[in-house]
Amino acid sequence: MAKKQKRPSVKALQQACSVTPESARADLDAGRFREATAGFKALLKSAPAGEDRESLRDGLAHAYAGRARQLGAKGMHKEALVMWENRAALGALPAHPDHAVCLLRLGRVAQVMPMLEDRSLKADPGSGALLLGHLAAQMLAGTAGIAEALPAEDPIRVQATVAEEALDAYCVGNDQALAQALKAIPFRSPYRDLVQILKALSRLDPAARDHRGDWTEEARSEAAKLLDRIDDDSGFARLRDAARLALLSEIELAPKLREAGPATRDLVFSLRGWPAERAVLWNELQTLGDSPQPKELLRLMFRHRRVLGETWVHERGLRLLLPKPQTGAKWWIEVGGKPLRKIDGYLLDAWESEADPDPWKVVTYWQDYADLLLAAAEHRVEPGSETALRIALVRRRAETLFQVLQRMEPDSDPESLPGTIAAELESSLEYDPDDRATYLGLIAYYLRGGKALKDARRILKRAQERWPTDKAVLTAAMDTAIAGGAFKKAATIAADILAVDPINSGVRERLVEAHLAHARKNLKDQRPDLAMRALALAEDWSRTERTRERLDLVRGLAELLAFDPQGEARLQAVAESLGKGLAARLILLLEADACGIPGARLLKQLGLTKAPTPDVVDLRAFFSRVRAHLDTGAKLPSEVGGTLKAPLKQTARLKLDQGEMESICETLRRTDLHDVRLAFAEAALKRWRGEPVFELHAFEARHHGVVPWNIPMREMLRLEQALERARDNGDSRLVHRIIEILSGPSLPFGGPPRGGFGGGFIEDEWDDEDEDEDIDDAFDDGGMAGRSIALLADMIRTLGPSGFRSMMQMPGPIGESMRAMEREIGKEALDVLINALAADLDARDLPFADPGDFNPGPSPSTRKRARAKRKRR
Amino acid sequence: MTDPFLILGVPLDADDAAIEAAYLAGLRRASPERDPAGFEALRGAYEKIRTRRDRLAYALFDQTPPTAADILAKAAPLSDPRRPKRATLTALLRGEV
Repeated sequence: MAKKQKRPSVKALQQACSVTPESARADLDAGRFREATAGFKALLKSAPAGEDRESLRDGLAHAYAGRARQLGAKGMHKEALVMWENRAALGALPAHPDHAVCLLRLGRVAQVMPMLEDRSLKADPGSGALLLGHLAAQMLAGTAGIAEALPAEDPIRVQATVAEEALDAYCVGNDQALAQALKAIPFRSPYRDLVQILKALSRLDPAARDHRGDWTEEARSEAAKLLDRIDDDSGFARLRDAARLALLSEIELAPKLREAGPATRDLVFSLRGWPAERAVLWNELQTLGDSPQPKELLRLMFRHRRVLGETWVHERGLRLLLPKPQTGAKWWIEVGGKPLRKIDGYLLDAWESEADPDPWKVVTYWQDYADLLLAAAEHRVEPGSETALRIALVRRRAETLFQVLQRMEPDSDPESLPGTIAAELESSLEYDPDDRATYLGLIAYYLRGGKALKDARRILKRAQERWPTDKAVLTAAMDTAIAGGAFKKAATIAADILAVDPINSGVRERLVEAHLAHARKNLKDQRPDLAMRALALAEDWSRTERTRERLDLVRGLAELLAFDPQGEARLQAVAESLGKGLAARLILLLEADACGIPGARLLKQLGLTKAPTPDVVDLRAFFSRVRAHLDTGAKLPSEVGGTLKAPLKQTARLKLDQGEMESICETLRRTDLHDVRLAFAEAALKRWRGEPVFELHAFEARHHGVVPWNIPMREMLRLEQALERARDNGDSRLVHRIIEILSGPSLPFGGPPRGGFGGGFIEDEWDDEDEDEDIDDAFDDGGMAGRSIALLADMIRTLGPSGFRSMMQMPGPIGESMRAMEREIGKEALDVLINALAADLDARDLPFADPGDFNPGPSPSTRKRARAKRKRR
Repeated sequence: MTDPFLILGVPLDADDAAIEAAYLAGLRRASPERDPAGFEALRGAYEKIRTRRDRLAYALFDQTPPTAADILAKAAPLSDPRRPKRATLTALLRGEV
């Protein structure tokens, strides 16, 4: 049946009409060969004979060649050959080497041979050599008819034997024979590219691999250099490309391997030592796509559980259920898993809890996990056994994640977060008594704040029983002695440590500190004579400028107290060296305070009562000293702060950059100098109007200790605006801080009616339902967002139970929300609650108690634990 | 690869000595000077499972999901490089991919 003539489309006709030699040339230059071909053909049809026609034919020939190369690169050799033939049909054009290559690829050797005689190819040594290279490669590939078509003395025929020998020697691993064969191939041989490839491949031996199975940099770079010598149009380019792929690292390889054909993959798998099973599994993994879905990956793992190992598949597979284990657990069985055990569920819950920044959640879920381990062992766990170690590690988990004990001081409430974590750590030592770090962490925690010395000594005793000569334990013993005022004992321990570790500067520093502390204590007891003795001991160990300065200060104070005239001169000299400004005053006042000497009197005696002239350098030195002091864990004594408050406020007008002002405000946040912080924040706001971080500092400083319902609404709105600006700036840390302030320790009963606390934009996880019937739950059922019992307690303390009850009659939102609460939980429950809170009030839970402290959040009430457990599947 | 046991090439029940030996052997192939990234990976893996406590902590707390590379390494670890078959080279010379 005659084929129906296809009519050109309207679009094609339009294109033909609009084509110009320039546009066709532009298509050609841009590699749009199909368009260029169509363009030149259309132009040739209408072009008159002459020079223009020659040029158009030349353009068409280039377009055919370009398209042929494109098709050849895709392995479409037959289609490419049509293009070459079209090009040849244009007539009077020299033979193109790539045309011959294409014929060779299709095994049409007989058609290639006449081309070798083409005058233009012979005249171009590059093209000729290229074609010979292709013939050589095809000769080795076993393409029939090449040898027969070539003269007996042709290098392709002559050197084929030795090239074959080289290939065979390489494949069987006979490197000696390989070297000999390669040597026998002349430099200008058509097989020269093969020589480079085989040399490169022979570099890739087992010794050239690293632990990941990748080639060492040296081997990789040597091989790459050899492969780079081969041109892209060489007859050996395919082999070169496959070898290049094998050089990639395992990570680089994966995506490239997907695009490679079977021959390339075979070469790569062999060179990289991939066992056959790995290749099969790799193929299977490829069907899952670039980023396999956890469910599909798990299905594959279960399918191959025999080779992967049942334990490994189970343990690693559980990780694929995260971050939503409850959803994942549903398809665990669907994809071939055995039913999850109870312990798996607990483990998944504990992992999930770690995604939450709430330490209580982590403590609770890991406690449950440890309890289950213990119950499974019927509470008979040998210390040091695997189960015991697991329990110990789990009990330490919250501290490992949150370092609560590293930041907080012990308090008397065993239900507090640090109290609970300390108890967990102590419990962990029952199961794993050999973990020195836990002892040391607990000792450091109990020493902080100086209120739990007994606990520190208790833990220290246990540690010393295990490691009597350990340096870290000895150092902890020294710290404990210093904290207990046993300076002589501390000095003895320090000397013991330094005897075995003379370059231990930390201990040396601590020893000097111990003597200094002793001297200060003596000065407080009005015993300058004893203080001088302690100072003499300290001097023996002092090595740094900073400690010498402090020794000088204490010595000066001791002399002053002993009515020695040298004292005043010594202190004057120290003040002079510090610039007689705020920094000098701070150092003098801190030391005087530590020695029990009234700072104001000291400054008067030294003639330093007049406020110093504000100075940027002095101010920087001052805050550097304040930070160093606060970093030791000490607070700025109120007398020191009181004396320096006024001159400090004056320095707020100094021109510092924004970063410095921010840093100063942050430092002041750690002190009680709220007025000064406010002065700096306001000065900063004058220069950087509305800057959210300074708005936050100004707000906190202005309303420090003020109960939230006494804060004017305009102030709350201003802070909310700062929050929006911080969000716009992308400052997530600041956003978080402002939200903490706005939502945080909270208003009772839902807060003001609009804006400020309880603003709709703040989500509160406490806002969910709860079915518990304890007192705490009365708050939850009332829908009280982010409230704090402590704050409620504070209201009761301020107003008294009866005054508090009378507030319920008040008009406005607070009275209304209290009445709503009464309606919801009943008058009786509210009375029980009020009486309970009135009997157990704690000022520490006031809002803005200490902004520098870590906020442990609500306590682990039975409600929270019960809620956590209810969530469990 | 994320699994430290696979990175070090040790079984799940390897003890301290076996893990240290694998680390030292790995160091010979990935020294910090010659292969900083390889060294980092090796060091990281070693630190994760160096002691019994570390290994238990890894089993309890590490939440990293397995990767395709982990699965491959676990099912069929790399063996020594092999020389390719002559037929593979012939196919590539013929122009196959």
